[in-house]
Amino acid sequence: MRRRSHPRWLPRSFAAKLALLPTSLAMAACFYGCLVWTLVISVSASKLLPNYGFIGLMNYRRLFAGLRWETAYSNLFCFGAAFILISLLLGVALAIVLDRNLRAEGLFRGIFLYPLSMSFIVTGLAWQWFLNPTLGLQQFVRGMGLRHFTFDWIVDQDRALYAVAIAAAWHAAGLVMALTLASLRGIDPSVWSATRVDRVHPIRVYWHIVLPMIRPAIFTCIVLLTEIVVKSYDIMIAMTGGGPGGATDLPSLFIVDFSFHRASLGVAAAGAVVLVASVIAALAPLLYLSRKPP
Amino acid sequence: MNGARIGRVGLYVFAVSAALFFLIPLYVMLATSLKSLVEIRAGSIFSLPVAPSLRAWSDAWSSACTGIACDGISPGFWNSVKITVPSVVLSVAIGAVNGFALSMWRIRGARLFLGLLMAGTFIPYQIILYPLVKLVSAIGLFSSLPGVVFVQVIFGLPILTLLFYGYYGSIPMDILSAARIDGGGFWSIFRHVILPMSPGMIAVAVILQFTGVWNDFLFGLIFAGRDHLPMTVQLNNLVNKSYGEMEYNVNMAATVLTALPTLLVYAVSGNYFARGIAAGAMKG
Amino acid sequence: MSGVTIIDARKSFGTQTVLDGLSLDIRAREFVVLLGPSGCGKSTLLNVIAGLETLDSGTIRFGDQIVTDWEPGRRGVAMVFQSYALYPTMTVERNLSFGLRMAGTPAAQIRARVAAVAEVLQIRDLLNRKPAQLSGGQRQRVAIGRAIIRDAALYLFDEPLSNLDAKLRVEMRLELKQLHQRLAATMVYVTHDQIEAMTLATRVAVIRGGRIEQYAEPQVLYDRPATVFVAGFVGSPTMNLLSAVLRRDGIRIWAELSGIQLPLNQYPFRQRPTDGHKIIVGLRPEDITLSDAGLEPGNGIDVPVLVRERLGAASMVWCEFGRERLAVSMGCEAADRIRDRIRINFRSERVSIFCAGSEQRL
Repeated sequence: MRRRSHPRWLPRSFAAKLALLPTSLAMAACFYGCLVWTLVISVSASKLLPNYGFIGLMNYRRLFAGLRWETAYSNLFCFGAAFILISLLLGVALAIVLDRNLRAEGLFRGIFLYPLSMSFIVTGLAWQWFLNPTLGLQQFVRGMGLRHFTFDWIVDQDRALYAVAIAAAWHAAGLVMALTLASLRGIDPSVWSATRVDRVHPIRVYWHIVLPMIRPAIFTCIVLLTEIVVKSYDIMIAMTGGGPGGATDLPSLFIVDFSFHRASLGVAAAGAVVLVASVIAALAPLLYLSRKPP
Repeated sequence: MNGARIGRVGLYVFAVSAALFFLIPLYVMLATSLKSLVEIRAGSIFSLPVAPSLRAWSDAWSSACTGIACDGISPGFWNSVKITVPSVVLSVAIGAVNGFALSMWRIRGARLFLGLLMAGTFIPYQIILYPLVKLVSAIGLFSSLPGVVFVQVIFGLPILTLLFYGYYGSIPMDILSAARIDGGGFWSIFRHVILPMSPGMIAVAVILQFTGVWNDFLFGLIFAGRDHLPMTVQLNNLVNKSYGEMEYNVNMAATVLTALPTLLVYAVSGNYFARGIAAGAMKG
Repeated sequence: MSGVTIIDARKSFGTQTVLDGLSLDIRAREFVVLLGPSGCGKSTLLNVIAGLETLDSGTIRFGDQIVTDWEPGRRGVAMVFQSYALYPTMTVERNLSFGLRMAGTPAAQIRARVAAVAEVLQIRDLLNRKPAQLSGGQRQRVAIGRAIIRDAALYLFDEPLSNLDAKLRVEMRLELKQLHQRLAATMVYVTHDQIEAMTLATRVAVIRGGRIEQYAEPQVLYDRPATVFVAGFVGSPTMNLLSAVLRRDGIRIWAELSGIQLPLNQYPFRQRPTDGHKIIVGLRPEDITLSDAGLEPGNGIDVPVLVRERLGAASMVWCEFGRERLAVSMGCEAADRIRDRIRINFRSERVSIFCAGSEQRL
């Protein structure tokens, strides 16, 4: 269609430009204006209230000197890695299984996707209860006879983060499944016919042929999952409240806490800047890689 | 072919196991909510309720304590409704108009606009939360229902605009030309020609936005004000309270109640939900 | 009813020039066809007349009124699109009345006009159907109905018959011609099909590369094409175009091609013919005749036959002529009688001479 390749062909309308104005203003102010504001505040002497005195990188030094940020930041990577890995593996596996034309495929799809319709608060609370050491899963397995079974990750400082990762992956695997399945369904059926003619074992087909073909979808999933990781707040608050003892603290919690409860706007803003920079640094090479033609 | 058979059975085993994995938390929530506290403490988490009762549900709805008040989470429910409905209506309407303007009319810098819109969705909102609070206060909407609706609309616009932009891109320009010749302008064409052609996309948009707004926590917590806290916030207050006896059945009943609206929408939406996910992911 | 005047229209899309200083004068109640190959700019010109696209420079007038910057709705034009562009969610009745409703016409008047148009185009039974429930021909009629319901100053057609099958196309062509006679309206019609152009138009503008090659009545285009392009584009079967050299010896002028001499003394040259000028001789297949058997040699040329094509009413005989091919049209019985060589005569009063370099008519 000529239209898409020649935007100059589109008709002019003042009303159209006017209609876009509110959104433009809102975007400029709320997204980008606020972003710049945060950047400015991060190098200012703000505490409880904004104070526009420039103090250079002092806030950043305070940020990195404090133990809480260090914990929260490293938690981000541990949690992120675990969550993305589990979600990807589970999601892709589910997609591959569903691609094999099972009976009741619709039902299975419905079951795998429903967690996405729920709030992360609901997910967090449900799993918090399920993993309750005295009344939940651990208790159940012990009651079945395995007296020394332990699954108290949720109260274990070293393991709590991974408990949350499992819950989050339970929630988000459906997303990976949906996208991967769509990509799998988009593969030309003649590829499968060719492998049957060549008598290639299905598992090898998947590993060597199919997986590379769905690489763009996988990249999209990684980008989306990373986004979920960085925005994670609800699930932590609901499931562990950031505990035990800061074991499931995250930069997002840190920032909200320091902005609203700890009267340290400047440090919170510094944390925010570091977080954004990390996200860009992590995603940019990923996006660049995914743009390469196959 | 024995190998293929085993493979097939293996597939089903995996699928069923996965299904169980996904269903267990839901089952646990429901089962717990129907048990009595005594039964919960005595029994195991997976056991079926001996004498299922909806008492915990009615307690959760009307008498459980969420912070200061003890009116259950029904106030939260109605607050969520009051927040979600206007948010969905406004953001879908504005998103549709934006998509129409960008895809069918000459807007200089349209691609840049869309790119910035897309980039905006990648920003974790905790980063801009404080300045956002200041902005919303500056326009006098902080800690109020209009305030939280405003924020929800703003944050829903990028994805909805992109959604409609993509959809309207498939409408042939000839129809727009014919309407212009018939004397239609931007708004009359949108109202009489474009909007009637959009019901499917509107359904997807509504489902996407409804789910997102209803399930939101942080914006509701910060912008709605104490009198308009949404159900998710009340739920968290109810369950994660730091005092008093833990009524696990009430907790779970409240959790299920909070999850129900979006679950129901999911159940009846059929294909639209999946399309919404796919569209939401297309920004990547 | 008014005419349309276009003065020095220019339009480019980026680096691509689509209209290159095009000027056109359409008289009131004329049926002008814009004819040309794909990408020649004819559709763009139509859109510019409609107001759907703007010019980079130039003027458009409807009668005495300058409308260059006017929105399409304000110009009072009606248009039929190649894809019909019916509003998919509206019934036929609402499709027809949309323009009137936009203009705020009272409901009673709308009803009356819808009924009248439905009667004329025989779509009365379809009024409550949606476009998806109509056949291609029916959609065509609704598209035309939508155009004529508004009593417009100008009717524009953008290849409206391209999507129809051959039989329907012939029927609709006749209907359009009758429509023009009945409405006595100014119509501008875009097509790449020269048969449509020849049968429907009062005048045809042959467009190529954003410029007008020739603008004249169909018969003039056929008999006296202004350029090589027009000669080859208009008329079916196409004109034979043969390379030759113009020769002049005092008062005698002739064209030399493949060993024969074609006398051109009666040819209405527009400029002084010069000796040695490389030219192209154009002659239609029906203007090449078989020499009567028995005439003296020297009258006519003897050429080998390549192929014979039977076309139903007539036959086309392809011959080798020098290094080129010549098409000769004749009756089927005559074609059956010939062997591997024929003797042909050129009707030199029907020939067209073009300069080989500029491709313009001499």
